[in-house]
Amino acid sequence: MIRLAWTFLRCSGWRRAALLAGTTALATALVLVALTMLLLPSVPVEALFSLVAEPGLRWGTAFATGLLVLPLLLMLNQVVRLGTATRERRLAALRLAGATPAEVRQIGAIEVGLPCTVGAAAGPLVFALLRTLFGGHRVITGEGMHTVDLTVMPPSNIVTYGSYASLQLIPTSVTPAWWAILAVVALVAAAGVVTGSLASRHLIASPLGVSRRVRRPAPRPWGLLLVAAGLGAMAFVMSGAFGLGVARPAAAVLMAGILLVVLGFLSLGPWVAFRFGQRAVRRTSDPATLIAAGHLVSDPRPAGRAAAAVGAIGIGSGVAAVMEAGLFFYSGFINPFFVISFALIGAALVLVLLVTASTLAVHAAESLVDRRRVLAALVAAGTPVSVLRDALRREAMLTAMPLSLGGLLIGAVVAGAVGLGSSNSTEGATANLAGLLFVCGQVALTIGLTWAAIHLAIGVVAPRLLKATAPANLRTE
Amino acid sequence: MSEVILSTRAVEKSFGRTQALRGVSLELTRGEVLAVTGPSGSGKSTLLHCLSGILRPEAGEVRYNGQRLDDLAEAPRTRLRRREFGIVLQFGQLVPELTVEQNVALPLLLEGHDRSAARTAARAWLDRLDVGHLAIALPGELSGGEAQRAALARALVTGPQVVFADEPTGALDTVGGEALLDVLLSTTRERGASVVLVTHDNRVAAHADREVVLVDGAFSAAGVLA
Repeated sequence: MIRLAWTFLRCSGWRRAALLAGTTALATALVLVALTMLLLPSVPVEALFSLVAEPGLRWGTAFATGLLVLPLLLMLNQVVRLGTATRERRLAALRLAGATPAEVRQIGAIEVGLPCTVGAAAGPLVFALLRTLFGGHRVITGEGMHTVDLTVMPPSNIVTYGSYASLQLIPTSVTPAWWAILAVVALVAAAGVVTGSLASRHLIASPLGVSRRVRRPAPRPWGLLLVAAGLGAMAFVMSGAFGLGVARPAAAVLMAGILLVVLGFLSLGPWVAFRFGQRAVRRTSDPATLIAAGHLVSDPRPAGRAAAAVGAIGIGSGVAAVMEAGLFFYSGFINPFFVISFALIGAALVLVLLVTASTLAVHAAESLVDRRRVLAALVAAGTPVSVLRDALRREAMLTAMPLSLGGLLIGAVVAGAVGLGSSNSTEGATANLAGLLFVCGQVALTIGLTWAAIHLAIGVVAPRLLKATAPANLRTE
Repeated sequence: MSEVILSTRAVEKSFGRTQALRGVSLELTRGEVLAVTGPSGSGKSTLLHCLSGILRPEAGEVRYNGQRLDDLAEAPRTRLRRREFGIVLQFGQLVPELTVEQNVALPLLLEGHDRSAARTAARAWLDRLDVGHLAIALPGELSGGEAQRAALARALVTGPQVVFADEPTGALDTVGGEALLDVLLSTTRERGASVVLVTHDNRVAAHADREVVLVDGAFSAAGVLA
């Protein structure tokens, strides 16, 4: 069975396998980074940026690092679907050759599981590489507080202080135990296999071909419940219900609340895709929008999942914008620690946006392969290829833009409410206006970057569109 | 003498080392129904693709109303196909995610017609081809014959001068195929449009005014049927 799966893996090309392995390797490395941060003693023996070195901030940083795994899992889900049409034909041929449905499922799981396991196993190497690039600098023990505290210039109690100290983010004085590394590798590999199995759960492979189970019902907005629960948990913490001296449980509930909001937003992707597609298909007279919206209504889940991380980026950006405005315009001085912290948050959000753009590109490429005959027929009948390119772009826009706006709004409103609740300042109207303009600017920047990411993703798959609309595809079934 | 609307001269087309067309020349007159027949792999579909401007021949020329078609850039050829030609394939030509009415209205929307005008025209053609009751259905919910009628409505909605049909009855049973051919030929004849009908079925070819037979990329015989 493994030999057969290995043969298929080799025949189907290395691109999908490499993408699967690369994604799982990065996910494993990020989990290991988060784990290493948590292993750090309260007084570290190395120079690290305060976000990691300070025990009070460390949990939040490790949590945020862990959240970066979510867009990678969405990417993994999309990569698993690459080459679906070829795989479906292969499954049918296997059934025709006498394979039982269980054997076909096993072959499919091995085909996905093998590269995921290889990727997860390579994760510790990626972790080691990241640690070399962004690792803390060891200092002599017993010299006091060995953190890079950029709030005081120059810090008197710092042994080493480099201009690049802000990039010292991963502890090098502690390493997870071998069994913990093994557990993380196994967990990420298992996540890959599960994702692979879930991707084909709606297929029925028969010797005469592969069919999908009865049309799935329209997505429901259950994610709103998660968002509401998350906001409730955050409000509970902010209300001071935990009282003084119970910072850790409060932080745990706060993180759980943030996780629920992010997961809720991610799961809202398909529903948003369906609703906005439905609205557009009823109203538009633009052919590109009609084709895009029709595709969204017919199958909103893959497009919704591909763009879902944009909502999380919006939340992060909205929160950061309001916090930055509060710190830079109301506190009266520019604090280097916050400047670097927000720069790091911005860099992380841009990285997530790039991962999301890759996910959108993979989704668009797969969708082109899947629909090549219809697209070729449309071009043969006189539809310009540029209209189909616009349709791909609008399909991504119809899902990503509402999610981005919604995320920004929720992030900004929540951070604003928290800020108002905890503020007793009486800053003037000038500061308010400047802060508001700053927030609006960052919202515009986030939307602009999302727009650019979508254009980039569709630009990358443009050559595949030409391939998909080639007259040769008029002959394929 | 009938006016020549579409012509080819010494057209050649290859795919890799396989020569699909070897110096094919023909003329199609206004209102004529031409059947292109021949065994599988003889170059029938490639000829249809060259005639309709989907493919560019490597040698020879294709003219539509006296204008060189093979010289045109992709964008004007695409516009010409949309405005002047209608194309019906064997299967899989309707956008599965759009309703039948939206599929038929699509060429008009591409031409810049407003939504309601495009919908009205689409509905009129669907009614005329007896599939008006399926306007809000998705292509996946139609039978083979119904899907082909919808595809025919989409091909005719722009008022084409030439309709190209590549094995239009290939996926239908005999009765369904005959019914579709009757509709195709009656509507095009009524409008004075020409038809190029690619088929390997002699019964289908018998409906044409003239039949040309392709073997290994070249005409082996040509004649006028009664």
